[in-house]
Amino acid sequence: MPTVTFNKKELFKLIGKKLSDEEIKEIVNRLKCNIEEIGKDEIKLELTADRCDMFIMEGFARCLREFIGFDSKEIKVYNSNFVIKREEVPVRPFIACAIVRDVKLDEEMIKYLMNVQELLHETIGRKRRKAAIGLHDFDKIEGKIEYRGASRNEKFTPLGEKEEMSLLDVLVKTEKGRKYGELIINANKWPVFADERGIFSFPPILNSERTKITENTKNMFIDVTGTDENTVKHVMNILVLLFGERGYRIEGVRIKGKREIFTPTWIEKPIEIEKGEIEKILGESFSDSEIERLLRKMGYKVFVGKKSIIAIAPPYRFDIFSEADVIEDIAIAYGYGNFTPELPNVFTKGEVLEIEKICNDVRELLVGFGFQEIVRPILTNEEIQFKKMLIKGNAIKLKNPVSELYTQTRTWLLPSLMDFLSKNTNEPYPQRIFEIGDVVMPDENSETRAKEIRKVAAAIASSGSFFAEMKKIAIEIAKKLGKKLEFKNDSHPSFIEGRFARMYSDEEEVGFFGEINPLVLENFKVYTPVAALEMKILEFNP
Amino acid sequence: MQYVLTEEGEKYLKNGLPEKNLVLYLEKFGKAPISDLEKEIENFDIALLWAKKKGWVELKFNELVLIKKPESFPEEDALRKIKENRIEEVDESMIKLLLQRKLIQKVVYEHLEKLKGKEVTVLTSELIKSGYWREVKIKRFDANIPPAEIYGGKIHPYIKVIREIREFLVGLGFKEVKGPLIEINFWNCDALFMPSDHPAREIHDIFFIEGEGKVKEKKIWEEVKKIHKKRWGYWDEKLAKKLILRSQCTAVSARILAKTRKLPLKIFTIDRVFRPDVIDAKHFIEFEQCEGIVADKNLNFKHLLGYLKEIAKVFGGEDVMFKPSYFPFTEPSVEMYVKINELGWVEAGGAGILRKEVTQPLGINVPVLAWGLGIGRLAMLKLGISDIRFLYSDNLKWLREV
Repeated sequence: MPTVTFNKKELFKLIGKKLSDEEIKEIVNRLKCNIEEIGKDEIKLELTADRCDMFIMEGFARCLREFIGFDSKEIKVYNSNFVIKREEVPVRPFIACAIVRDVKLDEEMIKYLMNVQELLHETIGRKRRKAAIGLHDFDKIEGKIEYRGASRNEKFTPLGEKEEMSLLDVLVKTEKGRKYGELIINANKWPVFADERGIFSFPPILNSERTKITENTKNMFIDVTGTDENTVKHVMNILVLLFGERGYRIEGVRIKGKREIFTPTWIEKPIEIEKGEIEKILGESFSDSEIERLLRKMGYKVFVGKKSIIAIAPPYRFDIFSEADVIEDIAIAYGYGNFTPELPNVFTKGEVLEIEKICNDVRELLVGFGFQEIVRPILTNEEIQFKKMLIKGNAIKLKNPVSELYTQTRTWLLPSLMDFLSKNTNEPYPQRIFEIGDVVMPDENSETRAKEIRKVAAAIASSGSFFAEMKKIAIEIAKKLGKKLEFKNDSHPSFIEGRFARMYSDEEEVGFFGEINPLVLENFKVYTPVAALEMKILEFNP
Repeated sequence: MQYVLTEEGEKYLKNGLPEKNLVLYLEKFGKAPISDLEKEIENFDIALLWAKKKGWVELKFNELVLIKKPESFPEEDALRKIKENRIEEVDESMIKLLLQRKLIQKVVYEHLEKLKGKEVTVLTSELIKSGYWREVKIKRFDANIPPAEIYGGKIHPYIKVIREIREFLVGLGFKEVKGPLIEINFWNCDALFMPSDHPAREIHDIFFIEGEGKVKEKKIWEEVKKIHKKRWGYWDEKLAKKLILRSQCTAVSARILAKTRKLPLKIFTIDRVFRPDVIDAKHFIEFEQCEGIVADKNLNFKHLLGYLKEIAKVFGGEDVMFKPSYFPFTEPSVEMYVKINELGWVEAGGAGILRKEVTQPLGINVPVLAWGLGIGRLAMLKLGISDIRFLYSDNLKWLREV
């Protein structure tokens, strides 16, 4: 969820009304955003990912203005009659352009525009892949504009550089090039906008020094390019909202390629809703005029028909595509706090999972035997669960771990207990601990290539031999599981030779117990004898 | 006080009391001359003394006559009980009598004898049994001295909170379910209408593992594909097949809905999810989620708020506040806050009505109310801790003391 900071003075100027902190808080509480901080001059907000129009101050102001019942000026896109020629550039196939007239830019405004650009790039632009923005001084552009594929040796002077560079050098030598180069590097031809003097924009990497916007810029040229048509339109419309709210004249351009299109695609979206559907979903009935009032509060135009209502969403609302989206806006306008919560007559019997009941029995049994319960991560690492335990094994590994401590899922519980003991060697002994938890085993036959097993493991760290006590505890746990155990002496690298046994129930191996091999104790730096058991409780299959 | 049988007592217990033997002999003949009895009955003097005392026999000329047949021989019973360590069943007058007859004697403990008048630290069961506790001084203990630690076993505090939540939801009529930790991306994201390039699906938000899973529900697979292509314009089928560690328990709800044909449905799950976060006081890469759904005809937004209000009570606050929110799979979406006295409004969970784009491909044609509770936060509140890592603590000291 993005966080934005707006200047309160600027915001109130845009809204056309000064609001007290209390008023802002009350309105924001009813909308899809949260106040993180509200200071003397600034307000910091957390927004939801769907309302990109509110990411910019102008959109946020428009939303608040309409919500408190004020009218907004309609934003129009005029035709500039400007034509841009385009080639097919497969690596960035979608473009939209616009001209903004008579802008007034100061240092603050330019900084703000850069921030907006970054925010849109990071969020809906998906780090410039789906869409990236270029802002230019239109008066520095000479003659016709063309969008085309360029070879990597073509040159221009990128923003912030003094000399011409080849496009390849831009990718290799500039910071932005290194960061975003991977988006285009494998393509034959790289996307550029050029005028009669040559390249002035190299999306999605850098603009040119020649056409950069400054405090002297009067007219602005906007390019949006990307890999997703809808996102390119979306980003462009948010920019139209930004400049349109500020009262600037926005002119569209014709883009001529295989086919001709006019951008920006500033088109309102009508959604038809059956009247009954609103009450069905919200559980509240509204009169036609009420619905009209509520929708207007949310920036819609409304046509009320006999059986249905047509809600027309503004062109910058890309989160509206079905009835449910409009109905949610009706609920927001009405106020979530104004709905009376109701419990329906749905009669059902509650039930705890059988496995959880069994686990609780085992838990209480072990607590009775003086064991402290522990809860440990399911993620672990090779070192702890295999190497230190002196065994080899196969676990499900993460492809993108964030810490070397957590790289794979555990296949058994005992290493989690040993790791726990190793971290508590300064605590008084005896230490009796247990865990009831899930382990994951690779299983090619399962639909998720894994099976999950609920297990219990217990350990006693204390001087003396607790081999016999562990056996007794195992028998008691098995009783809770409705199992009768048989024991077979065996050997296991993690345990002392001659002090390890496997447990069977109905011919199936269900666990083991024994005294831990001093080599393993040394590996975990636990210098107290440890006896332990581990037993299966239940296997799950998805 | 402890007693043992004297040699005489032992003999009588084995062979019978003399007066008993006398009475049994007389029973056969009614009467007998003294001279005969002196030969037949061992310890006749004693037998005669006690039998006369008890009024069983009478001396007539030179013969002894049985005048009253005794019903029992209490001394013999008492001897047996003392022999069998059942002294508590013998009354004091009998003990006196047996002592007087020298059939029993007090046990003498030489080592306890030495303790007489001395101070002892430990009151032993021997001291109590022998009565010597009367003869010794029991050492006074100072309650101000710090004790040695005792560590009993305990259920993990987080598990206790989870159990409370579980019981609470069962009380509201919800049935518990469970789904796999290793999940197919399809159930975790695609079936929940999250577009293939949704930011929450990137490697920063989901742990990926090697390989692809198999979605057996072919029809649902096709329907999900259709809806993604229609709404988002594309669908990354390969991504949908990828195996991951479940990042949200909503995946469990999706699986259950896919199987559900019977309504109403009211289920919940409390289980672990995984996210590749930076590990700090507020984030851990594993945590528990609690999610539930209600599916039935005629459910609406007010019912969603109604359930949330009930569920919020587990936080211990009565006052709830609902705020608009956004989740890819619900519309309308709600965020719930609960007022907790000393803390003010606390974020308690999220909820919404599942989008038709989610329910229809799963074959569900009724409204589905979905909610999730922030149980990590709830547990931290209840346990008064500010670091989430304590919930999975490796600190035994904390667990022993909490």
